Amino acid sequence: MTRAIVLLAWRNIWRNGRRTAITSLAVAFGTTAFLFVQSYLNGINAGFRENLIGSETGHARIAAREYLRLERVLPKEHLLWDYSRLARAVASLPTVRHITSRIKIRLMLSRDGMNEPCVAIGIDPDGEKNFLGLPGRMKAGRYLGASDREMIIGELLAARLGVRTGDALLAVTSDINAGTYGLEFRVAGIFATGVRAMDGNVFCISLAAAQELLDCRGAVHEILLLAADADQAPAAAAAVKKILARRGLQYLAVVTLQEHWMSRYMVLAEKIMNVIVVLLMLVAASVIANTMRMSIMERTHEIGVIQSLGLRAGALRLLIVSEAFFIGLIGAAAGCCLGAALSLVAQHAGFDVSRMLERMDAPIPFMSTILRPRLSPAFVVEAFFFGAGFAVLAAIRPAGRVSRMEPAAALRSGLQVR
Amino acid sequence: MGFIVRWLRLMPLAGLALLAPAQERGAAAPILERLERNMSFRTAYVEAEVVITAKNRVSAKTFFAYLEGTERTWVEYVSPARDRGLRVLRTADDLRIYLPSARKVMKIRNGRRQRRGYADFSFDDVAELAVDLRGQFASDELAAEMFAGRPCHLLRLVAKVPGRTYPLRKMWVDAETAVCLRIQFFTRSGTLARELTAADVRPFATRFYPTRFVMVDRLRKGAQTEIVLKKIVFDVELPPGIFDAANLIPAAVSG
Repeated sequence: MTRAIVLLAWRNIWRNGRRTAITSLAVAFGTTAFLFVQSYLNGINAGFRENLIGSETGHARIAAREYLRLERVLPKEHLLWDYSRLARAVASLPTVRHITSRIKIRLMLSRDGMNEPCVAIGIDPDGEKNFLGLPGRMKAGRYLGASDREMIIGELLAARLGVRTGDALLAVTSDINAGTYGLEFRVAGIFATGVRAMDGNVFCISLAAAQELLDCRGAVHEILLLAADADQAPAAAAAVKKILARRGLQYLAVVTLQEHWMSRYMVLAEKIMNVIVVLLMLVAASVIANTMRMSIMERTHEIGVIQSLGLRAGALRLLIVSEAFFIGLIGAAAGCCLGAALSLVAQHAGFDVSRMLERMDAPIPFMSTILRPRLSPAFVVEAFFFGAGFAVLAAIRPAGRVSRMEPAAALRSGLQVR
Repeated sequence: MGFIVRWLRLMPLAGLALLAPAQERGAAAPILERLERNMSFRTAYVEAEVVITAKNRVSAKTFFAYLEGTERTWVEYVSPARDRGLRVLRTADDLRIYLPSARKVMKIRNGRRQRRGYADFSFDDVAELAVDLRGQFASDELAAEMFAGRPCHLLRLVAKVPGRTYPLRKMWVDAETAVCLRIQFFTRSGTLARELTAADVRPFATRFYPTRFVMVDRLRKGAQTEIVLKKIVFDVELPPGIFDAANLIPAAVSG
């Protein structure tokens, strides 16, 4: 009997193609919106996280305690001395996958009488590939080579200075001994990370060149490390702390990604995003529920006919809910396909929010100028079950109502669609 | 606790006392005039050592300089090796720095001044300390006081023009030599930011002049700069073209 009801439900949904299409469309709309917004918010979140890890924290970071305390002003004198021995020891840990070392210097870039305050990051070009990922972000020229007199520069900073690849720039700073020192660098390449703070204020030079500028041979400001994944960061940090304790390096500290102030902000941002998703689900659900209810209520006369032919209330409810299930399947499948397609197209093209960011007084740290949704198979499955499931849920109550109506009353209702 | 709270409540009043407009009384103006006459010069040649202390790091540098009043300055560093050959030319309009490490000149236009690597101050600042004080500050004499064993006039100076760095100052001016032995620099809120002391005062032909200056940063623990003048000659004949920008680059480099 059940099988017969379900088969009947499947045939019924094709008897009135228009009604089925409208109802499926509502389910598809809700599913599409749910899937796309999930992907979009996931993309924003993932972008923040990647930018934070790549540019600032790694999964964990080793630096002098005083440097970390005063980090916002980039204090040049609080260094990690004899860093190469420590870096080798850290790199050999089984929980550590990649490491890199950095020096950060506030200085002036000068060209043809124009002076621009900015930040130089001294990097290990090979190690940095796993962090900033600059080789894949070069807009002109090439990545840093072997020369200590080369630089790669952010595209917005390059535009302000009016430089192209091959041009020379003078970098001037005061070193850790309060002396004024300068070096000339040739622009080997121009990068674009999509993060305004990086592209507009930063250029990269070799670690050796940065050490020469600061007069701090053998020292760096920080060592960043990547574990197998972010969740292993605390274990990696604990292992590093043991090394520091064994070597008596109390002036150094290890800070994980989770301990960074931005991570706390991202936890809050995720909660806000979840609220947005829930609100969106409610809106989508109300659209599905309304359409499903209307679809059922307009069949009251038809249902009266079915009741008159002897179909019991329970079987009738099963019939209506089964129809809703099939419509939900179709709508959810269509919605998932459409939502996934939209997400993938947007992921490829990205949303350019650079104009919006330009107008903001306070820049949002680590936010890319191009936002890209990030589709995930888990989101597709969630969206499918949301669409199909809610279509069924939305049909239960109206199915119950019409099944309790007297057949004569249903026949007299006059609600029918031809 | 109540004691601390009472003193905290008094602190703004103390700041207000410093902020209270100072009158230019007859007593302070002649003192400042004597100070300005004694400390100002037409030209000078200086050989000096500067020692910069910041937390646990001490750096010493030597340089020589030609000065034309406070308008133009030529400084060249002699040591340490890393700084040797660094040249700084300051004129009324701009600041140019020759960097031997890059063999390039950096120019900063429109009177923008930067600290030339000193933690606290430079000899330029010393030369400017006693220039046009009567024009820039309203002053009065607070008391006669002893400082470093010398009878001094204690003056309070309040900047006439708003927006000036350290608008409030207290100066101890030696009553006999008209040398400023101590200056305290206050922020607008009345916080003591820096303190300069001058010592080893020597007689010259027409003046007395200190040969040792120590500037202490009161906002940063352990930070100070000391300048010791090994040699100073006033009213010296300046080398021709010393303030020409072309002279910044050594002949060996430009040739």
